[in-house]
Amino acid sequence: MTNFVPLLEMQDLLVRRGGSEVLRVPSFVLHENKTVALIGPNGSGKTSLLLALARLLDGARGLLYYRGAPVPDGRQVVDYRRKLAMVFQEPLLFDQTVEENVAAGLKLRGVSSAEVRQRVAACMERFKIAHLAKRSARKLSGGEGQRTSLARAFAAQPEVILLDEPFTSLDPLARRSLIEDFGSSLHASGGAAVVASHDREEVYRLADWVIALEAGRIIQSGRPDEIARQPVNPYVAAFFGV
Amino acid sequence: MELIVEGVRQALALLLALDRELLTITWLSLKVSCSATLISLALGLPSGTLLALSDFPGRRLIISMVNTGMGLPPVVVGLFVTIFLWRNGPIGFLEILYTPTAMVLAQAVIATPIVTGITIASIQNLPAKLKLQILALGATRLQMVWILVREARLPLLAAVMAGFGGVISEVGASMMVGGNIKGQTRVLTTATVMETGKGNFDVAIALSLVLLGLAFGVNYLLTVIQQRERPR
Repeated sequence: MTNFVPLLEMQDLLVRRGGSEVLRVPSFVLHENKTVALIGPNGSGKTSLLLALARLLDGARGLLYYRGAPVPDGRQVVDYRRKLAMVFQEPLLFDQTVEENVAAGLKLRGVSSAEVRQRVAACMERFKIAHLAKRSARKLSGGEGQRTSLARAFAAQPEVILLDEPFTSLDPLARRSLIEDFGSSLHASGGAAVVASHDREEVYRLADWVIALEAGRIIQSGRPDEIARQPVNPYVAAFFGV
Repeated sequence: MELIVEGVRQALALLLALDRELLTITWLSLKVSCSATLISLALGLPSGTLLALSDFPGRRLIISMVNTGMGLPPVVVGLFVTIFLWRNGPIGFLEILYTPTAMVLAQAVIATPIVTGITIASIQNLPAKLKLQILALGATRLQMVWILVREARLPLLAAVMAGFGGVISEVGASMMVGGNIKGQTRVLTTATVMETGKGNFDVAIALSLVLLGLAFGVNYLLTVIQQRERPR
């Protein structure tokens, strides 16, 4: 990782639920043009960490910095969120056409119609869904839906994209193809990403850095090849196939 | 059986002759129930959305009260609205008892919990993460609420139908606060009750047919809109 001011930094993150501590992350750092993968079993805190980074987790305490400046609370948090995009495991599309879904984030930002048209067309092209532009989002297959969701995220030109196992529910062929398209789009956009994943291939293809979580604690972090060489526990070993 | 057949025959004759009194009663029924439904939508949609999305002490109690209110007996509503509007009642100074305004008020009291309850259910029935996704797209809270309501528009149309259905068919409250005054507060339901009591089954059947037609017509219109929007 580089030594410049991080793009995103979280310190002393603490999440409590029902009186018990579910996530404690002393430090999390994301640098520009880098992708961090979060791995760990279900319930280890991956989704909570992503939501905390997007300032979408109620009851999360901790210091969040964007380009070295503290992320404000209240209404100004919207300005911060508009620098990010988030993609969930389910596409969570609106009951509109594919084109309208891809344009959603831009319209919320008040981008001009001409620019919306241009950016939406480019993103649909990049994610190979241009031929579905006028189709209702309800009629899409799982893969098409997730492509639309990713196109919607990229259309807003985010500086950071947060992904919560977005490829998990896809068949192997669709998954591989979408990971490739996502990887090249991320590279082309110059953005940074944090991706929660259960898939080794995905981590090797996308991640510069891996953070392994277990029961709400970071148990290991490092470059994928480093972690694969010296896994700290059976889960991490099994994840990397060693 | 003969009574029914003869009643239907005479009813059709009345309808085809476009009886003036029948038209006046029908128009007033439609006006009162549509106004009450609109008021219930204006109150029920925002409050239902607020209750579905917010979290505060007492929220469950309020939702339970709304759900109970969905089955409010019209006569009970009629009784309390009458007491409130009575000459020396809390809002008796308005002097609107036995007017169509009082009927609109009573019907709005009946329909508002129905619209609120269905709105709560419709919004809560959306995927739990949709709210997070909308906020993550950079929406303000107001934009998020608008998108959620838009996403729930099909079940919300059911709220409109249920609200209208609840008030166009009620008789107790309209009778109590309206008084069934000829040419002023007589609506289809109160007139049906009165004509049945007098043994004028032909007129009563004619009134019921119009009432059924009205309820069907409005619901058919809303169903067409709803089904056109339905994902196929």
